[in-house]
Amino acid sequence: MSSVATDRTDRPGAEGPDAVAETAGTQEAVARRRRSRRLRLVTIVVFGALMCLGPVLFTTDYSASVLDELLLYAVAGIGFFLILGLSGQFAFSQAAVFGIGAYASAWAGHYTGFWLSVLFAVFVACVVTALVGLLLRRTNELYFAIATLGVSQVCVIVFRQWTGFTAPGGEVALVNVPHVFGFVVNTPERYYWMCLVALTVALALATLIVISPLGRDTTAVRDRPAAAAGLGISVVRNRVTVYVLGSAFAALAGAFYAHMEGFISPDSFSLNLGIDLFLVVILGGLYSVWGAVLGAAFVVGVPEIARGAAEHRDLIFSVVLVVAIIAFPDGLIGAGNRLLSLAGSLTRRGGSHGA
Amino acid sequence: MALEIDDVNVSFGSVRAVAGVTLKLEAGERLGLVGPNGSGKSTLVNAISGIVKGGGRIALDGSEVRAGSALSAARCGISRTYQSPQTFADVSCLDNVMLGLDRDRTNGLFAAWFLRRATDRRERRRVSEALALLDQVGLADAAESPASMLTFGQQQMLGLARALAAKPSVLLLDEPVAGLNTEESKAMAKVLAAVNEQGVSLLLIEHRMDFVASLCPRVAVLAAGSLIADGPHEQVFADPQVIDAYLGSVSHA
Repeated sequence: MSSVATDRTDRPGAEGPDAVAETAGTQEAVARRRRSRRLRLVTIVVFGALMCLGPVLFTTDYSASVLDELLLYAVAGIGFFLILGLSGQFAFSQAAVFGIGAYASAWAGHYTGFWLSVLFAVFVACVVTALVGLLLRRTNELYFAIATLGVSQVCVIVFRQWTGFTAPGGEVALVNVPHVFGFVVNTPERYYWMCLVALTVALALATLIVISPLGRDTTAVRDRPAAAAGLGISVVRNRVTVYVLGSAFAALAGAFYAHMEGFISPDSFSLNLGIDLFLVVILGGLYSVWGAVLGAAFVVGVPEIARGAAEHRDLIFSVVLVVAIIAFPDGLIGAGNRLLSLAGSLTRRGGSHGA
Repeated sequence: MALEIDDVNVSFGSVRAVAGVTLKLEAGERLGLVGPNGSGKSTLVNAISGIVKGGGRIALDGSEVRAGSALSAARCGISRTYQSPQTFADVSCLDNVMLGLDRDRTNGLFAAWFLRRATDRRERRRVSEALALLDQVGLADAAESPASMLTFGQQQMLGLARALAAKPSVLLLDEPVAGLNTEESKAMAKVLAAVNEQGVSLLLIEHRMDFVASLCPRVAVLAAGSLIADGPHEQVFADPQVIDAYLGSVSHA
């Protein structure tokens, strides 16, 4: 029994029957992977197209701004999905990084236009999280969570105390208005399109990560770090890469959010936002980029729906949250998948009866 | 050209699990490592593969393995299987094996977004190599099923294919046929012999003496963390000291 692992011939006719079967298997497997990738990307495009119906839901500036917030939560949530879901790192710093994105773009906005300030904000967040990730490379799980929580608190204190370009208390108004292809983006309705593009691109980039060799390595490092290292995967490098990458999504969302609101204060990036983002990912489902989208819809949407109940709003949200967590232990996306497979098996059964 | 284990010792608190073991494994050699439970066999293999940190020197073909670094061991060409297979349960068998295959800059972030064509080409070659390895261990049909669907014996085979993917010069096997039935053990022996035929050295921990004897001309015996015998298996299995420390119950059985 000799291996055919290295027996690769590119010239047709040069290989034996075994080698032919070999390449057929390879072609099939590669084609399957390609189909799966195409399906994922097409789903994202279809989602983006469907979301173009968003403006139908706008009746007021307010409803548009809620939808914008939902989309930005989803962008930050996708980044958090990469860190917590794909990579299994309990980072508590996502809200602070969102804030870094907001403040860095606010600062840069004094010297440059909107797009450069967003780029700068993402860059700053990457540098900060790379340093944090490298410093904390020996911490695991809960210790990483506690350490990143500490980093978040430090960030909030810096936002509040460092009054280099902000008013005392860390409040600052943003001066820039984005221009896109000659359009001035100055209303929540117009921001919607920018946020939608950001979300669609974020979904595509995250999906490509998940199905790339990097995503494969990341899953391996998450599930069995020692075995992964034994295969030659650098655990530290992989974790830091994904931590920085996921944080970049949050910083982008933060920079957009700051400009959309036109005004930021440190309280916007406190633990409340951190818990919201945790909910987005955990409630949505930890094993798919789509979980973040569903989670954001829940976390932003349910309180808005309950708004009519005035002072009972928080209570209603909390009750719905508890019920949702009990009812969907693997997240909304898990419930959706179960529903889909149930529907699939029902139609199949129906089909076989008909035949 | 060999694996050199020089005065390796590992302590857990006050317990010396491995107490100064010196061994040399020539290129292409097959060495069986036996001993009673708790004699330090697995700990020694863990130290060689960098899973636990120990003292002493471990080097492969002259390049030294950094103590306690599984990554360093892997890069030096040491690969291993585990007593519990340690396969990645949620991904397909194909992906499990592909995880072991050559890693380079096409595994990074840049490759995921920008080097699509180069990455695709390399992935294609990885798929082909991984399928060949799965075929070699008899799992060609399971390529697309998640590893969690396999039986224990199949998972052990998958672990072997994954370890081989790294193209190691030394393969450490921690009880590869424990829990396998006769059929599966035979298949495992056949694959291991073929792997060795291709020049890979084997270091085998096993309690089944017939399996060790059939595969390994040379056997080393550990007892209480120290090497008490090392030589041709006929000679070692006849050594009174070895019989006393380990084989006694077997020969009376």
